Amino acid sequence: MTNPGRLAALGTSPAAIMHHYDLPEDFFRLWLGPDMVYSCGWWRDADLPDTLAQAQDRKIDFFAGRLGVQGRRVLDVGCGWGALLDRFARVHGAASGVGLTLSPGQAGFAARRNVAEVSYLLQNWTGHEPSVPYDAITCIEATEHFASDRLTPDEKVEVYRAFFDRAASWLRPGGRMGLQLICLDNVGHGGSRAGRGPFTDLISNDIFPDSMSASLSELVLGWETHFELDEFLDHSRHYQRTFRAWTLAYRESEALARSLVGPDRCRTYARYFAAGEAFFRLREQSLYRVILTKRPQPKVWAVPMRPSDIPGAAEPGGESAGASASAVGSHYDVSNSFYQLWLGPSMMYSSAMWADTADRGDLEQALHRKIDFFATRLLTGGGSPRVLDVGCGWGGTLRRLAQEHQVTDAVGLTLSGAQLDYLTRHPVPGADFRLEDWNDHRPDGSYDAIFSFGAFEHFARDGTSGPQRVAGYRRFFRSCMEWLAPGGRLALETIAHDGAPDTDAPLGRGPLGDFVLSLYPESLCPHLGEIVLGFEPYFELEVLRSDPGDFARTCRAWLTALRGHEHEAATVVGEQVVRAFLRYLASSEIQFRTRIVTNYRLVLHRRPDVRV
Amino acid sequence: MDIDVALRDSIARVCGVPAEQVNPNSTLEELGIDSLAAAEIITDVEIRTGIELPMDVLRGLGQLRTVAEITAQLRAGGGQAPLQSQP
Repeated sequence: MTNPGRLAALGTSPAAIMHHYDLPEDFFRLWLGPDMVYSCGWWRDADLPDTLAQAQDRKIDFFAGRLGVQGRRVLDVGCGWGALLDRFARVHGAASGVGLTLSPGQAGFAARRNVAEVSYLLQNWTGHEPSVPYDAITCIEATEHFASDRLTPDEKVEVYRAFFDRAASWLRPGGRMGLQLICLDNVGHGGSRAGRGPFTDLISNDIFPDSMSASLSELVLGWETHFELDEFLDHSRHYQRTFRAWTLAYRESEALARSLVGPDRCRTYARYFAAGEAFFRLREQSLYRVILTKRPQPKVWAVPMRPSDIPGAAEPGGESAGASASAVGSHYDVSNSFYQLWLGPSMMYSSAMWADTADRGDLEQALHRKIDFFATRLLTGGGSPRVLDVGCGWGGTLRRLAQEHQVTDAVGLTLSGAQLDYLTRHPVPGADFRLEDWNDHRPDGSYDAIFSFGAFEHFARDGTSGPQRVAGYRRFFRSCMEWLAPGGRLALETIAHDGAPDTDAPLGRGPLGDFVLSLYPESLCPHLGEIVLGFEPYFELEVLRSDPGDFARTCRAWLTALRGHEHEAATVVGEQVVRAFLRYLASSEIQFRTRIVTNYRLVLHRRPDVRV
Repeated sequence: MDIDVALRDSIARVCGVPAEQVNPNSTLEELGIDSLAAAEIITDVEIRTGIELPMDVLRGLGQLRTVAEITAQLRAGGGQAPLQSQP
């Protein structure tokens, strides 16, 4: 799909763009304000004074800072009336910029800003061919116009892949992208089309004809080949406030609006602002801000995933799609006293979390920070929450939750007999530990929160393809949804393939892949798109972090500790095993630092109903 | 610590050979260093010297053939702020 004409025809038509964006400028100015910024602002906390203009500047300043635009050349795809590049140049010292819009009115307005070295072009991204590469690209709420509402999810993914292919080709090595994305959330693709209700009819027929938001998974599949994730923010609540601010401004000058666009359209817009606010309040749609960095090499796929390729998830209780109990046990059952030598007193075998690179705290403090980070986001209901820990290890997570977060009713699942033995000797008050596969778990009652750190890597077997893995992940996420009380949350942490190619074996096989598989038989890490495809039917996304640096530092701390006890360790498990673990920890650290793999952290909020 | 010495000692440790047997013209193939062992060597060099190698140096190591080439690459990469303080 490389033909610009064909690609352009898959997006919102120029006529439909003009239908919306080429109303009189004075009409938009009534509610957008003088700087004409038509996207979600960045608001301070609700109790602090703020204005729409400040919220819009703060949003632009965020992207300027993260993209490092000073002295740089920037492309803005879907530039609107040109405010972002204007502020990048005048306030943040961007050297030059190009803005693309399909609206003649917007292009004309933007040109009259007379920003030195910034040009605004009436051009589709599909036809853009820069002569000089860019240092950064922004795309602020424009992807909704890349794929029209006629397209299937598979076709949308093809369009987004084509867009990110182009964007990568326009960027210098190491260049960054700043995205602001409106995504379908609690209501999926079919339910967002016209004919499904008054809201969707209003948006699809009257406001944004010929446009369609993406599901987050479709955009991740689009960008994952060429870009790694640096930062991801769920700012859906910021859009509630932005729509409310537009409503308030509009009411101040409704008579003028009526004279500019006529009574019918004036009324339609009042309804649109109310609908927009409601959409984001109900999370029918979500607003994400995303920072990406171009990969040194494009990621290679054995199977380029299409949403329609994913087989239906098997019924719960069937054979596990993940590693067998004996396979998992072979790693974790090595010897408790061996792991105690280098994991440290809390016996947590997953990544710690440092505040930043200047944080000199030790491993133990940083492990506690990780647990506390998730606990404060999951245990929000007060009372005495009921908690499940899937892959509870030696009980470090539940021990911290009992000691610091008033959790007195918990279940922990492990497949390792040695871990269960340790937990019997070192019990956690109120915690019931079981030697049980999550696939066989039948809870006595619902949980308020589920934690799963460093277990997801075992939920898909080596030898499986991406679509098969997603089917297995969906079974896990659907089980979690069923086990959670309404409004419950899931904290997930997993190692994932980042720059590593997609194959049916770890890290594309080779010496390291074989080695990982020998240490973790039957296991295979996911790719980001697979994780998102997995949870999307069942959970809203509240937190997504890619923290490879934290895991690199954790590996170094473990390596240092094991080296310090090398001889003692050898007397417990033998020299061969010690050598293998030293090699595994050292090579893992390098894999995280070079972003061959990364460590994703997610907080997921149970949907009210399964998304269809 | 000098980076040549650190690299030699690291290779000796990881490959299980006496340090005297590691010379600049030794190829990685002769020493039996695959990508996995290379990662272990790099970490060991960092622990010995207290430096942190930048990411492009790490990513470029796969193309190198001899000990001398690695040494040159490590020198070019220079030292960054330490990943964490020395044990």
